[in-house]
Amino acid sequence: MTFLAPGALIWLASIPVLLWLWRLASTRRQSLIPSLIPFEHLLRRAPKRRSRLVVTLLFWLQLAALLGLTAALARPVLMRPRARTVLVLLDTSASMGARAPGLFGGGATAFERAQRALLSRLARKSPADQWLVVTTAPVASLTPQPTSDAATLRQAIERARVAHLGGNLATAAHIGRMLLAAEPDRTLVATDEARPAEQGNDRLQWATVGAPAPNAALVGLDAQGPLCRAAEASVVATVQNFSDEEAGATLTASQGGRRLAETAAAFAPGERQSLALALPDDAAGWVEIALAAKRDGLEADNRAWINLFRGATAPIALRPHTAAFKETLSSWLGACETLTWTMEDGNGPPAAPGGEPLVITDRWDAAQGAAASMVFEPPSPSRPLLSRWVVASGHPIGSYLAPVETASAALNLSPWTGSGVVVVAALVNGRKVPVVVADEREGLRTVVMRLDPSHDPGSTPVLLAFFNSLRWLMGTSADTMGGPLSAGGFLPGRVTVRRPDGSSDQVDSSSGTVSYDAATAAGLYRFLQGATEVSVAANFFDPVESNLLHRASTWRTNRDRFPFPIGQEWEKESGPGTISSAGRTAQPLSRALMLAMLVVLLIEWWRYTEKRDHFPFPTLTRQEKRSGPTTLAARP
Amino acid sequence: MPTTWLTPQLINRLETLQLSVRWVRAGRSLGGRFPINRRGSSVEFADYAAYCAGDDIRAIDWNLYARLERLFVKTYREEITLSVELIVDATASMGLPTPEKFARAKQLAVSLGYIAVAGRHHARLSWLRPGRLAATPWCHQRRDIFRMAELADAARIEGQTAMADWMRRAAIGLRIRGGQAILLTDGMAHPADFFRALHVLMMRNLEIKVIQVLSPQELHPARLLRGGLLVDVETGQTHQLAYSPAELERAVADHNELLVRFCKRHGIPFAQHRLDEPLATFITRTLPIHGFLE
Repeated sequence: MTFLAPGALIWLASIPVLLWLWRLASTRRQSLIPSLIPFEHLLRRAPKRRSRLVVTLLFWLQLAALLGLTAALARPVLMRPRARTVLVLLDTSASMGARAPGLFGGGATAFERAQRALLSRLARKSPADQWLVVTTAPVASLTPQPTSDAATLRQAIERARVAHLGGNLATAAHIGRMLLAAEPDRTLVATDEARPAEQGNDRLQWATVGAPAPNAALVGLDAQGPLCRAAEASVVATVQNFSDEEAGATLTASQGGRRLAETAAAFAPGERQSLALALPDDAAGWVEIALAAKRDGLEADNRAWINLFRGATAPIALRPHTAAFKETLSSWLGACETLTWTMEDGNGPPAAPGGEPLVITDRWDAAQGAAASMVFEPPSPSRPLLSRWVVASGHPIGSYLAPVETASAALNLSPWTGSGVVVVAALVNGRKVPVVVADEREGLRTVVMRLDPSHDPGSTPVLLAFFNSLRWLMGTSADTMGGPLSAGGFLPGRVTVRRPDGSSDQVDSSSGTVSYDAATAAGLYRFLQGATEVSVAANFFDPVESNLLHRASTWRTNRDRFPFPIGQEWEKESGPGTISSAGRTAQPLSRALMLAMLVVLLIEWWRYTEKRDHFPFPTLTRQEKRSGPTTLAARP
Repeated sequence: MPTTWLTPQLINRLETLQLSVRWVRAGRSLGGRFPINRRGSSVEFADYAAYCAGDDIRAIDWNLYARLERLFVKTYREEITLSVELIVDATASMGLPTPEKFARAKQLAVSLGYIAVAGRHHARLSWLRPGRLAATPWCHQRRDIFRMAELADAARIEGQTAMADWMRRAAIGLRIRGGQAILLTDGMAHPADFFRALHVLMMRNLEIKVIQVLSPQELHPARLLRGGLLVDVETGQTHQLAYSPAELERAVADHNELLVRFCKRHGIPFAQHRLDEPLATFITRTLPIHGFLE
C-alpha cells in the first residue's frame, strides 16, 4: 500500500491533541461514588503513576476515526497484482461460416463451434480474469474494454456473427494488444486455421474448429459481350473447385426470380474455369449468378451480382500525342463495332456531348477531368522485351489472362511510384515491373499501361489487357467485399441502407454521394432516400477464404516490441530496492475509508449518548462542585 | 403509595419460607413458641439457678438453702416470641450508583419481615441513618406488613453516620435486646466501625444476619469509572483516580472479603445480593443456602 498524498499524514499530529483533551476531561471530571472506603488502603499510599489516563471505547472509536480521516486524506492506494488479461481472438472470417454435415457435427458451422468452445472456456474463467474479445473480420473488439463480467462476455460472444470478409489472426492479435495496452497474459484463439507450430508458447491456447472440406466457389464475375457485340451479351463467371476430387457445378443467372441462363461444367481438382452465360438481349440491370455444386462447404461464395448496362456505354475519347499511338489505338477501337469513340487531336480536351468521356491517351495531362482514363506510359527507347507476365487473377482486368504468361512487349522499366493495384507485372531480370496498374479513387477509375502499344499491336496478352481494362473502365464499381460501397444521386441528408441480411442502417449523404463502410455481408445493398433508390452489390470473391481444404495460417508470432512499454518504463523509473509497479493495479481506498470512518463516528455518537444516559456514577455539575458534601448527600 | 412489588405471587412464595433460628435468649412474652428458662415467676417450674447479685431475693428457695447452705433461685419455663430487628442502611451511599439499591434493600427487609410475621414472630424495621432514631412499629400480623411496606416506601436516605454509634444509640433508644437482627447494608463503612456495630448487637444477645446489597457496577468499578476526581457521596472526601483497573477491582474485592471473613469467624450468616439478581430468586434460593431461611 502506498499514499498518493503522504503530506496529509501530518494530521497524525492531532493524536496527541486527542490524548490531551481526554486527559483534560479526565482530570476535570468529578464522579460521585458511594464510598471511598474500599479504596482506603490505596489512598494511603502514593499512586504508582501520577495520573493514568483511563480511556473507554469512546476514545478508541475517536482515535479510529482520526486515524481513518488521516489515512483517507493521504489517499492510500492498494497495489494489487494486476488481474490476468486474456486476449480472445474469435475468427469471424467468411470461412467460419462453412457447414459440412458429418464433418462439423449436427450441421453446425465452424463459427457456432467456435462460439461454443469460447463459452465453455468462459464458464471456467477465473472471476478476476479480464477478457478482451477481438473479431478478425472486421477487426473489432466486442466489448469496449477488457472486462471480467462473464455475462457481458457471454452476450458479446453470442451476438457475434460471421462476416463475408477475409480475416487475419495476426492483425487481430496486434490490434488486441494495442487495445489492451499491454502484452496479454494469455491468448485464446478460436479459428478454423491449424495451430501454428510454436514451441514453448504456453500463453497461447488454440481451439481449431472445423475440418478441411471441399468447396466450389465463384471467384470472379464479369460482363462480356456488350463491349463489342450487343447481340451476344454474356456474363463470364470464374469458378474454382477447392477440392482434391473432380467435381461438377452448375451456374445459373437469374433476374427477379426469372432464370436467364444456366450452364454446367466439370472441374478437375483445384481447377479454375471461366464459364460464360449467354444472356437474353433484354437483360439489363442487376443479374444474380448462383453456383450449385454437390460438395460445397461454404454458401457465402456461391452467389454474386453484376449490373448490366446495355447500350449505355460511355463515350470514348482518344487523345493521342504520337502518330504510332494514334494508329494503333484507332485500329484496336475500330475493330469493336459497338464502341462509340472519337478522335481528339487538340491540346485541350473538348467537351464531350455525352458527359465526361472515357479518355485513352499517352499523356497524363490529357486525362485530367475524365470520368475514367487509360493512360499509356510507353518507354523512351521502345524496344521489344520478352518477359513473363504475372497476372493477379482477383482483378477483372486479369480475366482471360493466364496467371503466368510469356509475352513480348516494349515495357517501361522505370520504377513505378504511383498508387493502385498492379494487375499485371512482368518479370524482367528477376525484377517485377508493373505493366498494368488499376486505380480507383472516389469513383474515378484509372488504368495505367506501362508499355508501347504500337510495337506489337497484335500481341494477345496486350490486347486482352487493353480490352479488359476498357471493359473495367466502362463498367460499374468493383463490388468486392471489404471496401466502402459508394452510391450517388442523393440529396444531402440521411440515406437508409437496406442490407442483404435484412437489417437497416443510416448514413449521411454529402455532396450527393454516400459511402457505406459496413458492408460485411455479400449481396445487394439498397440505398433509399425518398423516391431515390440506388442498389449496389458487394460480391464475395476471396479464394483464400473459399479454400476450406488448405487453410493458410494467418498467425504470426509476436516478435516485435510492444509499442507502449508502460511496464518497462515504470521499471526504469523505480529506484534500486523498490518494488516495481509493473504488473500491478492501484486500488484507491479513500472512499472505503471514508465510509468506514462514517460508520465509526455513528457508533461513537450512539455509544456516547447511551453512556451519558446510563452512566451509573453521576458527574457533578458546577454548582454541586461548589456546594460540598451536604448537597451531595441530599442529591439522591 | 401502593406497594406494587409485593405481589400475591411473591407473598405465596414468602409463605413457604420461615426464618432460620439457631437460639433464642430473650424475647417478648407474648405467647410465642420459643420456650426459655427465666428467672422470676411463672406457672411452670423449670430449674434452679445459682443466685447472683441482682436476682430478686424473693425468688430464693430458702428450703434448699437450709439443706445445702447455698443460695439458689427458682427459674420458670416461659414461651416467648422472637423479635426480628430489620435494620436497613439508609445512609447516602445506598443511593448510588442507582436509587434502586436502597429500594431493593427496603423490599428485602419488608419481605423478610413478612416471613417473620408469617412465622409468628414480631418484626420491626429501623433505619440506620444520622439524626433521630426511626423505626416502624412492631408488626405482629400479616396485615401489619403492608403498613411496614408503606413506611419503607416513604423512607429516604440521609447523609452519613457511624454504624457502631447508631447501634449503641438504637440499642438503648429502640430497646433492642434479644431476638434476631438482620442488617441490610452496602457495606460501605469502615470495617472497624462495621465490626463494632455487630459487636454491639451481639452483646445484646441478638442473633445477627447480614445482607450486603450491591450493584454490579460497584463490584467492578474499573469498568465504569472514567478517571478524574472521585467524590465520596457521604463524606465529600475527594481523591484523584490514579490507579490501575486491577487495583480498583482488587480493593473492592478485599473490602468485601474482610466483611465476609469477620461474619464467618463470628458465625454470622452473610449474603451478598446483586441488583441484577431478581428479588424472589434471592429470597427463595440464595438466602436459604446462606442460613437465613429454611
